[in-house]
Amino acid sequence: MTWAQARLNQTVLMRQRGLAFSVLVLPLFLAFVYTSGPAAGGAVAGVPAGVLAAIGAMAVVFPFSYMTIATGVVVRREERVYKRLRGTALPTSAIFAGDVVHATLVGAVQAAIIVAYAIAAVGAPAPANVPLMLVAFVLGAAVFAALAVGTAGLIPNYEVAQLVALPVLFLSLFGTGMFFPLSVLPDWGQRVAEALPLTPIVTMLRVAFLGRDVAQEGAPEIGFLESFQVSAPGVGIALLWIGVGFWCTRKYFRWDPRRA
Amino acid sequence: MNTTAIEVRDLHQKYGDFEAVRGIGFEVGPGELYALLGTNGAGKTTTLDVLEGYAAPTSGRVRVLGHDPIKERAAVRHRMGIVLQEAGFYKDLTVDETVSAWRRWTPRAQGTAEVLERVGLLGRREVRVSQLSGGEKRRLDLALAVLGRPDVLFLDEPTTGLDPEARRNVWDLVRAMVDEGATVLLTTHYLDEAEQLAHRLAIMHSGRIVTEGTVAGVLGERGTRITFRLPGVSPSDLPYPPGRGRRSVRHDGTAFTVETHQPQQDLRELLAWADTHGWELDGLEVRRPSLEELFLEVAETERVAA
Repeated sequence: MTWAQARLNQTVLMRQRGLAFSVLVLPLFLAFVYTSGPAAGGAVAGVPAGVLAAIGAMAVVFPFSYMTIATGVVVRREERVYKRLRGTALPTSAIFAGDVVHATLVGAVQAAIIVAYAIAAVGAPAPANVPLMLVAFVLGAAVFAALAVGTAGLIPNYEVAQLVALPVLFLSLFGTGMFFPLSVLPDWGQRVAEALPLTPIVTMLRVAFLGRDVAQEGAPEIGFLESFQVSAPGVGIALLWIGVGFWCTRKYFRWDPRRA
Repeated sequence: MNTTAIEVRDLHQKYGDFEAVRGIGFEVGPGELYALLGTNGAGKTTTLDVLEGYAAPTSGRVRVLGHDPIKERAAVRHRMGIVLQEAGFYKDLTVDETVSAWRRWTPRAQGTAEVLERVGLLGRREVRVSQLSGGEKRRLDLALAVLGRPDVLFLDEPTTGLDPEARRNVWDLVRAMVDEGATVLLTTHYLDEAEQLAHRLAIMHSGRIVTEGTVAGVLGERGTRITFRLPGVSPSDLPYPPGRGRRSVRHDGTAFTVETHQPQQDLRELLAWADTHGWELDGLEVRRPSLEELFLEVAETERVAA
């Protein structure tokens, strides 16, 4: 039933051309632009900047998942589609899961395309630690799904949902080390950036790909288990944000329109 | 075996300080069509929300097919069909896609063509939902509600805003469902709708059921109204000697209202009386009380009794 819901979401998305473009194509476009730009010149600890950027660019799919899920939840709630769905034999959990699974699958396909592009065109290595990469992806998807569902309760309508998605996207692009290193930020800015939900995911993805501790000076090479060890604080931050998402969901989530 | 399909006992429902339903109770037997009548704010939709499992009762007990609609949702959900007063569709899908999507999670669902045929939307199956008329959307509502051959059907003002033809179509559909054995709980503003469809009805007013019974029983308690305007006469001039029959006469200036249980006889006497005097009865009207009048009257009776 979750699958039926996810499939339905995809059909509905494809009917709204504008939204379908931003959800399906825009993240790929952004990833492509940022990995082909002039910043791709210098090398960081022997790793070309373009490669670092291309790997980090995988994470661009998460703020877009946030947008897909948050706007989807808000629109379906306000148009009372949720009310109708809850009156069917569809379990409530499947309604939730369908929305989240759909956005996550879209993100997974996009991430796979970005990875393929990074390896084939930018010269990124094949991932050194595939399990860690998968953990990073699942955590990233979970963080942004939880935050999307959690904040949707505070968003009154579609227009505001679009507005909220923008700063989420900008913070994710520029405050997480995805497209330029956090070391260019002032000290306080780095502290803030490190606590943002996407930063640990970007770092984990790089660790997983390169088999290097990118947080250290010189990015020394590390082994399989060590990769997990250095990623532990990042996992902690991600879990914390998932917790925030769940807390907001419990407090603010509603099935019925806010205008009712 | 359950002998009641829907059971409501001493139901209270509060939203903050506002008590939308203030202690109501009724039972609907299997295969019965029961109508809840009332104006906006009477508490009809709130009652349905509780029965449909959208809201837990503040206090009291509700059962649908013997189950608690929230705690035992899984046992009863697939046996209910719901037409909400207002609910959205995925408006970019076609009619056909909508029904097909619903079929994926509806147990023992009817075929898409079969259900669209029933509601008369077969010719519109490739049309996007956003392009359907109000009446067609209502029929799609019904198609989705009856898709899983429900044992209990909840219809919240299914014909509000529809043109007369669309209303009759909906009525035909509802009758067909009842003929097939479904139990139906319907809310409506319209007395004639209840008369057309309901076996029994209750009239709700400010969160209470003020009167309940068979349609004939409830309406039979109220007289027919004969209204007209006639200047220069007083009630005692009318051809109705006091104390004869169940009748009341009210007047306000030149406007008279005769409420009677023998409308045919009273009208004949009135017309003959006017003819002999050569008077024209201005704005002559013979009608049954409107729903509004009916429960204002009932509410008034209640207030006086209390």
